[in-house]
Amino acid sequence: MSTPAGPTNAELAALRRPAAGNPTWRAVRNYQAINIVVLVTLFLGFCTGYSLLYPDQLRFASLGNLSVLSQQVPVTAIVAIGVGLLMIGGEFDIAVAGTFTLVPFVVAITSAGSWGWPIGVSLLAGLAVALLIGLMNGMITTRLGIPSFIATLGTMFFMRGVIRFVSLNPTTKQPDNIAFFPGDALKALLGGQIIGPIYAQMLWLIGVALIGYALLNRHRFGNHLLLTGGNRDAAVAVGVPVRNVKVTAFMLCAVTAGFAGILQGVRINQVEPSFATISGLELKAIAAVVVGGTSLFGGRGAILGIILGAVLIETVDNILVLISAPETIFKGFLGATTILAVILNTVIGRRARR
Amino acid sequence: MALNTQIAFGLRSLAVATTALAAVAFAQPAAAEDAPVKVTFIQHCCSGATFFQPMQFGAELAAKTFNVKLTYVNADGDAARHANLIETAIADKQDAVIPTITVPDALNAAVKKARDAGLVVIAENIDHPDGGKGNAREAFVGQDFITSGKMIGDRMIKTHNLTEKDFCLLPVEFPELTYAVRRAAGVQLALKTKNIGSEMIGTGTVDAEALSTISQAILANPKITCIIGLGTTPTTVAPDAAAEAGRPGIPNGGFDTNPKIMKNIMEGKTTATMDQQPFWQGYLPVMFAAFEVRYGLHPADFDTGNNLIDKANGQKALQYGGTFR
Amino acid sequence: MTSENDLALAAGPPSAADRYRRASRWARVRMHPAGPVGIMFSGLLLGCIVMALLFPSDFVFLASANLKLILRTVPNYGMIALGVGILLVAGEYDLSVGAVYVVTPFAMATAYTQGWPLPLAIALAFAIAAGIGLLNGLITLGFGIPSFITTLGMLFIVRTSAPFIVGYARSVNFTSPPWLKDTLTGSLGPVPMPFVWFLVLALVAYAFLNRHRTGNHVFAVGGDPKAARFAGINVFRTKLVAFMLCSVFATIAGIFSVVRLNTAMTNPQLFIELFAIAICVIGGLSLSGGRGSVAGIVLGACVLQLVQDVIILSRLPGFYLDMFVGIMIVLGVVINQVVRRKF
Repeated sequence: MSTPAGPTNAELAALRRPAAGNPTWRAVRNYQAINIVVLVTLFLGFCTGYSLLYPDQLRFASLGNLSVLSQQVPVTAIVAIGVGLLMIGGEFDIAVAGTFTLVPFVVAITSAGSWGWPIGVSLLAGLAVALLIGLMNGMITTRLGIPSFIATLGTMFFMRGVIRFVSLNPTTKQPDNIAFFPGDALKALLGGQIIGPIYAQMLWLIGVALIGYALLNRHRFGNHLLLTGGNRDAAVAVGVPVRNVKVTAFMLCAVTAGFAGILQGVRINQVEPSFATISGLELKAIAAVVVGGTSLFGGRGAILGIILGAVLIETVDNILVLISAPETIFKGFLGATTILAVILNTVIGRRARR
Repeated sequence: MALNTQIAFGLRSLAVATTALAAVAFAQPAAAEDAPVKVTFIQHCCSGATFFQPMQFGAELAAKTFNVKLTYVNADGDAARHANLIETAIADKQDAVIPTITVPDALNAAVKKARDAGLVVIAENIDHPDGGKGNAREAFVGQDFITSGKMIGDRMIKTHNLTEKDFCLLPVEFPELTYAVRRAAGVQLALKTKNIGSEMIGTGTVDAEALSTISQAILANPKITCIIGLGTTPTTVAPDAAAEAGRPGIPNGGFDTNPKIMKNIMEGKTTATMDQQPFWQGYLPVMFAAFEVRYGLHPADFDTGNNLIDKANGQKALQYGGTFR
Repeated sequence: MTSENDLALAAGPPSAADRYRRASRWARVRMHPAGPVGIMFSGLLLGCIVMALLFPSDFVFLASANLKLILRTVPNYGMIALGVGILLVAGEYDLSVGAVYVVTPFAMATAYTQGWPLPLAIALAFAIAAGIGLLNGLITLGFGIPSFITTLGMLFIVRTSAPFIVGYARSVNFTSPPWLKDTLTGSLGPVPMPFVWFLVLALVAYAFLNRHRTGNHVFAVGGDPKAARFAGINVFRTKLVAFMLCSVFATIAGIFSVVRLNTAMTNPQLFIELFAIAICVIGGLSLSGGRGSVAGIVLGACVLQLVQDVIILSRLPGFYLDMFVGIMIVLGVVINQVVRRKF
């Protein structure tokens, strides 16, 4: 394939937005992101206001609680950004929980004990594993032409076996947790307290978000991705290397999931083989992404929306804990929030388009 | 030495139980007049799993009895979420938090932070492998997985005269989870004394599928002469699986109780099960916490889990299944 | 083959009907939605039989206990997949089946142990199932949001509903009357009843999809909703029926499981919904709707179970069962693609 020039950004933008010059259309596009912004602002505003007025009833806005959120939300949000970028390109990754576990496992194993690699090298090894997983998912999906939902369902089960294998404790011959103490410097870098309730994870989220934004909205890759997900035939017609774009998105998704896994491992000093198996990280990430206004079918989505989707899901959960909601209701609430937010997105979006 | 430790442990448990009984008898009216003690109880995983039902029942009963405002939450098998929930409890100005030390080093920092903030911390269900030395929790209420694994292993060997010619299948829902790993280690400790081989197999949590997987494993390996289920699902379906594989007589036992397991035991289809008495794991920590917060009574470790249930003592477990058992 | 293809290319892309008319019988088999999975199944079965004859003591595939076991096991996911498949043909997903499979039989068992007459208890289960299906459909179609999201949310909502309503996670002994146990889980000659019922349900599904007007509409709305609407088909109603059928099939599977195990629990049965979709795709159904066959779903369920059986019987480490299942899912779909593309 020799496509030295390819389509220009302007051409791609014109294809993607048939009425690029039309101010109404631009307003609607902006409005898309604003749905979730309004929703999250209202929700957070209410919670904060209430907790400031009645600090004894709801301790949402306390330093300790915000610290918890500032360490947890970025992890979910970073996974969601990867899953979201991929979904914008029209594909799913059901295997993120596996990547989220395997990558920190590789880093923890190679940096300790008999391996004893320098942490930098271990991190590179982790990156390589993530890229490999993304490549595998991408190649299976694009080259073999099978739906990514099924391809990554397969690799999810496959990786579970791999994780069991790498987590075997050499003496007991059983899978085991592995301690992860990568040194104070890295710990401070990846999970240190910056000031008040702001932890390093927040800064990393901002970094990943900026990269994601730049890729999606300021780089040709983003245009290719949006077009690939939105209108594959048109993308092929104008010479977008659709397969490569998708494989790249798969790799980005794996790298973000692996990075989030490392953040989590560094924070709790340990990696466990079941890291995200039962909690269902893949479905949580998809929920955050679609709550954030991303189209499940590709071609539409914004980084800010995805992050706010993660914020909403984690905050709702946090509020349920703070108000002592019955244990059985939590997951049901996650389900209801997802459905309601998507309904809201869709209905408001449709109204605005009319 | 091991015997000494066990006796000491037993005595301590006895003392704790006496305190508890006395407390129940005398302290109740006084407690009700005070402001409620605020306790966060963290179930470590598996929302909806029947195993935790007596635990939650116990925690709620204790909360009602001792005027505790209970927040019962679930960590979804995620250690980071577990740490979050502990820290949320600190931020929420709870008086006590009751976590499970599922992943040894993961919760150390959070537990320490809770202690430093003045919260009472009592672990339940799973402890740090080094106990109180490894983690800042004040006390642990639960089962020692390795000891109980060894007990059920010993019992199967004794009842069925297993020798080195025998071979045990150890089915479990998720082979990589802590409970599976430690129980397997305990069972294998017992099996090793007779040179009995064993093999783990993952069954998942879908009962019907677990049933089929275990039957297929039995068909595939005629060497298998004994099944020890390491979790509720495989223990529940083990006798049916043996029957469907055409070998209904295979000795089987396992862990945990539920109405079906108890029915199998009473009908003689299952030899025995290790009951870790989850009711106590819910009731006692909440009670300990309430008493420490109110009266400064210091809690102590309490082993809930060496209750081997077989046909002889199973009637009550069957009768009170779903609440206390 | 090549020359014919070349000719066809020269004359411009031929229509599907043209290609079908011109194709050999072998190609026709491959073109059938259930063709690839049929070939896969036959190959696998043949391989198993040969291996079993060569190594009768190590690979006990042909032992009657093993064959019965397979026939007993296939219907478990198979029955769920029938419903999921019908819905998939209509172009929609249902992830909530994993929870429906648990909750509706639990409601039945609870009602029965509290003294309800059995038929009424069973009716209750189906009423709840139909209600959940209806709700899935109304939310999806009424608001125009993806069914993947609606049913993902419903998966969580339904899963927590039973423990929430009864207060705790629970387990209920369900001692069904002998006639029910015999009819559902006994055997008909050497064939276990669950498999007989699975075939009956498959026939019902076939009759619905291929011999009933609404079934034809299901294909139409899944393949091209706009064209279907132009043709005067009520897309809303057709999809709603498919949603309800899907929940009902999951309930039937759940009732079989509860009767077989004599117990109903609220324990979450993880990943059922994903396995059901995997079976459908291995069976040649398109994830984007409009294409598929009941035979494909039945064979897909058989293939998945056969592979699992082979893995365990050949003593591959059971510890890594998940890993082989994962490889199998991908491989099954790949074979589907390859066989179909090769004409």
